[in-house]
Amino acid sequence: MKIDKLFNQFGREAILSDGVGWNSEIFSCFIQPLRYKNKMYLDGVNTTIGYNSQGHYLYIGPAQHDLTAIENTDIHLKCDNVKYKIDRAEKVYFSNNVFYVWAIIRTIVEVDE
Amino acid sequence: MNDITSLPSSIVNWLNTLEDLKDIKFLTEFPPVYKSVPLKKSIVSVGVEELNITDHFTANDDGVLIRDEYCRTAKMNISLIIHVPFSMGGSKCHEVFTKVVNHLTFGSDLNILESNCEKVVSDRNTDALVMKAIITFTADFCPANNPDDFFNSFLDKELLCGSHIRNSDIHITADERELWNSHFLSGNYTGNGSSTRTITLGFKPKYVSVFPNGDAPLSINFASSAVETYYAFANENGGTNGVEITSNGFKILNGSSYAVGNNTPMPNKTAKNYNYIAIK
Repeated sequence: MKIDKLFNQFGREAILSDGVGWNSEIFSCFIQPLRYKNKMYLDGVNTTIGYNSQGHYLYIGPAQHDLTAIENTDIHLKCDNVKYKIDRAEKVYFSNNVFYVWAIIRTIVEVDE
Repeated sequence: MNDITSLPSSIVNWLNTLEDLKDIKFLTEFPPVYKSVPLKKSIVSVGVEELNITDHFTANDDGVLIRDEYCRTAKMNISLIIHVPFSMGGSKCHEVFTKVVNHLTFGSDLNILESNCEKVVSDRNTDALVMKAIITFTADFCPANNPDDFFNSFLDKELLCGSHIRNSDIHITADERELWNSHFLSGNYTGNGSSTRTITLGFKPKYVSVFPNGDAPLSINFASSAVETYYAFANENGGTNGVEITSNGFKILNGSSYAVGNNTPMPNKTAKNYNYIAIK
């Protein structure tokens, strides 16, 4: 069973990038706000080193782009010029085949340091 | 900066200038800015943990402790909350702590009594390994003209004793000080015979006196019953017939034109030496 058609038809275009030159081909995926649960701070958290907006998102993408195999921590997802850090990624199987990749991603906040 | 919160800012600004600490970012605690996600370098927030202020005493020549009216002794705990990216490991917290304490101890004039740190913990809100450290120091809590110049006196003089400074009843102005230090002017001149002559002083005197130098104050011609007077006095209300006060000094009036009866003022007789005293 392939769901690539669904990604291509309804997903958003995104790329993987290491920020210094390497970019993957453009592919389609789903990115949606993470469902918030109890004890999660919807408005972010003020910490002693600044405001942490905590913008977490659920990612569902094609099996060809294996986010679980990424070792370079500089590699991030880029969609509509918004960069996302990959916090956790898992493969979801259908039978013995990777059906899609599931991930929790977070908006990258770049601060002048 | 004019209150006690200026100290963490001063420390932050100073630490951020040190080349040896370029790989660490310092900021005051809870800054109104976004935290970077993910954390890429070590960040240390600086804040005031605790502050105790007591009276300040100074020993006089006899060894007796005298309480200073405007100084206090402050014992202060400065908190350093060290944040390190997970990828750098917990030992980085201790490395940062050691570096910062070394610079504060040997590179600043803070009188550090002790430095302590707590255990390293993992913090989800900042995505960092976090270690809290406390720097305890004492300071002479005296007012300074510019509290940013050094750490030992960090209260603005205007803030701490502004009511005293602005009380004009107990302070003198620069003009008043000048007047008190040189409240009169004396000088001399040699007469040139002219009927009027202006002596410029640079101010309007309240009183002026002119008198001859090494000569009698007056000369009487008994044959003609005439008197030549070589001295004169005047104040703001008027004076003798030989001198007038002007806005910038005084004017001497010489000769028969200014005579009163047989008394002729001669405060400018040719070749005669005169002294004068003018009171401001």
